[in-house]
Amino acid sequence: MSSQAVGKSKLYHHFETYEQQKESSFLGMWLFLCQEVMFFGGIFAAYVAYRTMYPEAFMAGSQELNATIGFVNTLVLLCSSFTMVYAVWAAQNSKGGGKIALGLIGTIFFGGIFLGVKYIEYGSKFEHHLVPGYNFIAPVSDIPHAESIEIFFALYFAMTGLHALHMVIGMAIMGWMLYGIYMKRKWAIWDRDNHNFVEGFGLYWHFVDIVWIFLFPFLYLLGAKPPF
Amino acid sequence: MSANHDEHGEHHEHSLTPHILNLLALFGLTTLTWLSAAYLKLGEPWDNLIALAIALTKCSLVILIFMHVKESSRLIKVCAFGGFFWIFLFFAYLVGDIVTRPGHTTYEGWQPEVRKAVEASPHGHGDGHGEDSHGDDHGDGH
Repeated sequence: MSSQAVGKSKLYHHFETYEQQKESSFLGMWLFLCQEVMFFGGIFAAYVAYRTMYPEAFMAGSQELNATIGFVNTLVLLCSSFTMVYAVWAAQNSKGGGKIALGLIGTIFFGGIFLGVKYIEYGSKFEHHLVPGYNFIAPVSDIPHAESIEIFFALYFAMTGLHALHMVIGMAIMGWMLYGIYMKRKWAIWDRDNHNFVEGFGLYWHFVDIVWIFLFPFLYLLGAKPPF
Repeated sequence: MSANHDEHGEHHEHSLTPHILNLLALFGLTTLTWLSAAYLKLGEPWDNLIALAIALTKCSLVILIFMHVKESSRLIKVCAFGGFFWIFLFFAYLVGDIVTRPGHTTYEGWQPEVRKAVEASPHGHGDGHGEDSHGDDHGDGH
């Protein structure tokens, strides 16, 4: 460990070994993610129940979304997951704060592109009168339950909004981690013995990616049109 | 303790290669699901099943490789599996409920005799909104 210029990562006093500290930390993170599965599970269940009740309306609602934009955004989010993996890899192989920071900055960059695209998409929904409870006008009327397209868009905003909120929180935590690295704080020294903060945060970020992996077909691909 | 850990670290230098391959696989699967949804159009359950199968594959790749579950302890594996198994049970019961309600499903062909019996009964679907041609009765309060 002498190669570490900034010092040694912490073994907190209530743990016997680094191994035990690591296991406790990941178990706690996974339990949190199981709770997140239940949290998102509820809203996915609402989607399934309403979609079976109003299949035509959900199809028509999905056709208002641009699947190509959804596709590109999925790739962007996968890139952010990869840069997160790079940060975790740098931490668990004691590559030093600089490389961890590089991974985190990359993740913030791709996360920012994703949210920027989302912002533009939300803007166009406001323009096209597709915002439930605000200015909603059903885009088609010649299908059964055309008024229920509003339910599709209510779920669209709730699901993508919650997902985006998770990303914003994640980006704030990454900002905090970068601050710790930059200020050479003791808690922000991560190496092969203790990289638990970085890897635990990585689990959270990948989970948010998984949520999008399901949102993309549920919302965008349902009514996808040929792009070429 | 620290000698032990140094040794452990030296023997266990992690590689980025599996993660790069995983990223490429995820790109490929995303392209596949996008193009299949846009062009195949096989009709009701099939489009959904293909999209869902690809999403589950992508989800498994992220969990096993990006989230390191493949090389984690059994306790972590059980915990990760439990979380996603829970949602499987949740949706199994949810979908089971939906498809066994005659008036509430698009898969009408699955329950023709139940459907006939319900339509023949004087109480109909329970709230008398049965005028939709495709039988999509959406009474609330069930």
